[in-house]
Amino acid sequence: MRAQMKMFETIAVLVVFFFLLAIFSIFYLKMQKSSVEQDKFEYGENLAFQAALRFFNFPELDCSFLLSQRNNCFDVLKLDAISEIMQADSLTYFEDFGYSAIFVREIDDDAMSWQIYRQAPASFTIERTTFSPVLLYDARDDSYSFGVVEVHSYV
Amino acid sequence: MFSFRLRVYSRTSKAQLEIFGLVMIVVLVALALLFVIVVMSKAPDREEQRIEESLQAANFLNTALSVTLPECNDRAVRQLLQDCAMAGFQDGRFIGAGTCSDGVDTCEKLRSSLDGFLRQTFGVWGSNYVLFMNNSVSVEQIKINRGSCPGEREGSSRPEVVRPGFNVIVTLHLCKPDNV
Repeated sequence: MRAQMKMFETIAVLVVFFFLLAIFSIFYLKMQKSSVEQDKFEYGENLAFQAALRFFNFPELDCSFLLSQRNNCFDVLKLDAISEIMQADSLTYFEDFGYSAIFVREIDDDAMSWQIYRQAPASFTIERTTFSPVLLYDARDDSYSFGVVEVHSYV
Repeated sequence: MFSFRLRVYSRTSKAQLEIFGLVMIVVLVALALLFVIVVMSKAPDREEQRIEESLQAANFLNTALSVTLPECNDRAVRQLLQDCAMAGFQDGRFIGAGTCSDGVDTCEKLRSSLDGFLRQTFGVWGSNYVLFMNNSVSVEQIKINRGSCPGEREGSSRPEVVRPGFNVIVTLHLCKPDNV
């Protein structure tokens, strides 16, 4: 009888232990799941940011004056040309920009805009967008205007 | 003999139970420690966000100050800043500031241009911001903000040369809106 009581006691302790372990595991897995979702979200943002950085360093769009060039500046005439080239053959630049879409637009009353690159996958779970200010130089009237680079990354 | 065996058996059984209890405690403590280590070793996830915001602020200042304004004889915003920095400020008016071709003085034109750029960029993108300038009485009157930036903020400062030895520091702070 005593032995049975002891056994029941042991079993009860085990049951409580595994019950606590199960609750703890569920809680931990839920936390991990939300952490994985957060990591995926940040990965998408990082991709967009990296694509924007690569685009800013694109030599095809430099504002160049003789042998010097201006930082954070795109030449409007080069934007016109590169948007036509990229739309005709965007796969050449897939290695640089992957699955993303890049737009440049001017902040102005008569705003100009360009779709530079676009390669979107058939399906994606996350779309992250990053915006960056950029100077737009128009050599026709030697003027600078305020532009924005919009990079959408698809994960 | 029988009672001796019973005593030995009950002592052994007790010892086993105690060891089992100790093992359970050790397992629970180990699990708790593992949980704590995993949580504490997670890298701060705002680091990339901070770098991005600082770069955005730096890019904004560089871009905004280089824009040329057709209504101000195609002068760059930077030149308006230099002109305004040399002006005085008295009784709520800028004294000695130049005038653009549309009749607006350079300080007001500077304020309205920067305000417009900020509203159409960070304002649309959902960031709060504070832009201010130091080192000259007149430009210190120009402070542009959206919302408040009480806590954590990122940003950029840059010196703009007005004259050799006379710089104006332009600072832009960015932060998330209060309700985020």
